[in-house]
Amino acid sequence: LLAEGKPWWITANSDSHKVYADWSKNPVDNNADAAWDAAGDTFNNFGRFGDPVYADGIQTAYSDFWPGYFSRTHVGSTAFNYGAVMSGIRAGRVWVSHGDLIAGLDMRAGVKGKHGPGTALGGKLAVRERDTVTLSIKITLADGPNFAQFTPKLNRVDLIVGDILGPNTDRDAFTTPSTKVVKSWDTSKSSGTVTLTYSFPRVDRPFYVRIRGTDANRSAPGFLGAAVDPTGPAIDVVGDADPWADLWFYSNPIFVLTPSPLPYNRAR
Amino acid sequence: MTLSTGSVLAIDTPLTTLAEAEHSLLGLGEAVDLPADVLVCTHEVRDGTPHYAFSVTSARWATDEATDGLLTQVGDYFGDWPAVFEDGSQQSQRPLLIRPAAPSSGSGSGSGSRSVPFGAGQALDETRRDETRRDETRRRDAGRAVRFGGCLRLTGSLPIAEVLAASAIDRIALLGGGTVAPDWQLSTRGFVRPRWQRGELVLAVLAVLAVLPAGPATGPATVAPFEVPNPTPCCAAH
Repeated sequence: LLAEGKPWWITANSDSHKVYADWSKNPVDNNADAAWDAAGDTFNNFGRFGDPVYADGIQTAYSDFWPGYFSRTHVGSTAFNYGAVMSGIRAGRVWVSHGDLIAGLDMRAGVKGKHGPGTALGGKLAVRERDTVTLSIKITLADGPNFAQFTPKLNRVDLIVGDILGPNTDRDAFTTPSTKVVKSWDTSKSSGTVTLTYSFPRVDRPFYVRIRGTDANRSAPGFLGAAVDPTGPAIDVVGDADPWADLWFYSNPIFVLTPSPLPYNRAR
Repeated sequence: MTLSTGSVLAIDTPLTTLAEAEHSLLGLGEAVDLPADVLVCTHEVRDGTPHYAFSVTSARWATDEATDGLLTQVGDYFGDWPAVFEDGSQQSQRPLLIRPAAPSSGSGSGSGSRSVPFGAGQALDETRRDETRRDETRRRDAGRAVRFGGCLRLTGSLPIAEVLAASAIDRIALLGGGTVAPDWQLSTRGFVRPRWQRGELVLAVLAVLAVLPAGPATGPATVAPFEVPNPTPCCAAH
C-alpha cells in the first residue's frame, strides 16, 4: 500500500483482558492451577481461563498491561486534547515502540538548500526532478527504566526506502519491486540524542522512506532475503521468547513526490 | 513421494473450522479399511461460504471395484451431511469420485443441479468446488495432510533423518530461515500435519527451546511443527 502511495499508517496496541476497576473478573482470580469448571480445566492444562464472572464490586487486584506499558503508539500532537491526538493519527505523525526502546523521534525530509522545518512523518514532500532530498533523524535515547525495570539500549537503526508506483493491478500482490533496507546505522556507542542524516541526490522518481530501530538482540535475514532486509526481526524460538529482550521501534513513512506520472515505469 | 496416479475421493463438508474438520476425520480410519499409502487431506474451499473439503487418495485403487467399494464405505461414514439443492430438494452429500483420467477442464457439469451452501442462502457452483478439490489434490499445491504414508510412526521425538525416511514428508521447512540438519530432533507433539507445496509434502517447523531433564539441550537442536494440536482461540479469556 505504501508503494501505491497510500497513507497506510502504523499503530501498536495489545488486547486487554483484565482492566483495573472492572466489575468482572476471571473465575479463579488468576490462579493458573485452580480449576475453573467442573471438568477440572485449569489455565495450565486448558490454556485459558473460563468466562468472566461478576466480581462483587470493582476488582483492583490485577490488570493487564496498562496502555503503553509494552507497545506504544506515539503521536505527534499539536495541542493537549483528544482532537489534536486524533488529528495527529490521521495525519500519520506516528511511530510505535516496544518496551520504550527510545524516548523520542523527530524525522523530517526536506529539499537541500531550502530552509524550513521540513516534512514530518506521514507527510508528503513535493520536489522537482533532480532536487536533492535530505533526511534528518533525531532520536532521543531512552533515559530511564521501562516497565520491566531496565533502560533499553538502541543499537541499530535501519532506513527503509521504496519506490511509489501507483495502484497495483495485482490485488493479491504481497511484495513491492524495490522496497528494501538501504542503510543501517550502528548506534550502540551513542548516548543522549542520536542525529542521523541521509541524502537522496538528484531524485528522479517518487519514493517513501521510513525507519526502524532495535536493541539488535535478535536479528535474521528477512523473509525476502538478505538483499532486501539483511537484519530483520528474527522469528521466535518456541519456549524462549522474552518480549523484553527483543525490542523494536518503527516509524510511519514520509512520501517524497516528484512530478513523474504514476504508475511509474515498472521496467526501470 | 512420487505423484500418485490413483483415484481421488472428494468429500465436501459443511464444516467451517479446522477443529471440526479434524474431529470428523478421526474415526475414518477405524470405520474404513484404508490402504497403507492413503493420503487424507483437508482443503480450504474459499468461495461464497468458505468451508472445508476432504480428499482421500491412494495409488492402490487400481480397479474400479475396489474403489467403488471404498467409495460406498466412505460415503456411509460421511453420509449424514445434507446437501441442499437449488430446487429445494435435499439429499445426502456423497463423496465424488475423480478418476485419474478425469479431464482437467471443468466443463463437464451438465447435470444442472447446483447446490446451495450448507445452511446458507447463497448459490454455489458445484463444479467450481469440485475443481478446487481436484486441482489441489492433483497439483499437490495446497492440501493439508492428516493421514499420509508413515504418519503413524511420527510420534514422540525423533531425528529429522528418520522423519524423512519413514514418512511421505519430502521436506522440513524451518520458518524464519535456515536449514534443518538430519540429526536435529523433531518434537512431534503427536500432531504432524504437512502441507503440499508445489508437488512436495512440506512440514513447516519452528525452533524450540528443548528443556530436557538435564536442562537446556546442548546437542542437536530441536524443532516442532508450526501447527500446534490445541491452539488457543484468538482473544480467549486468558
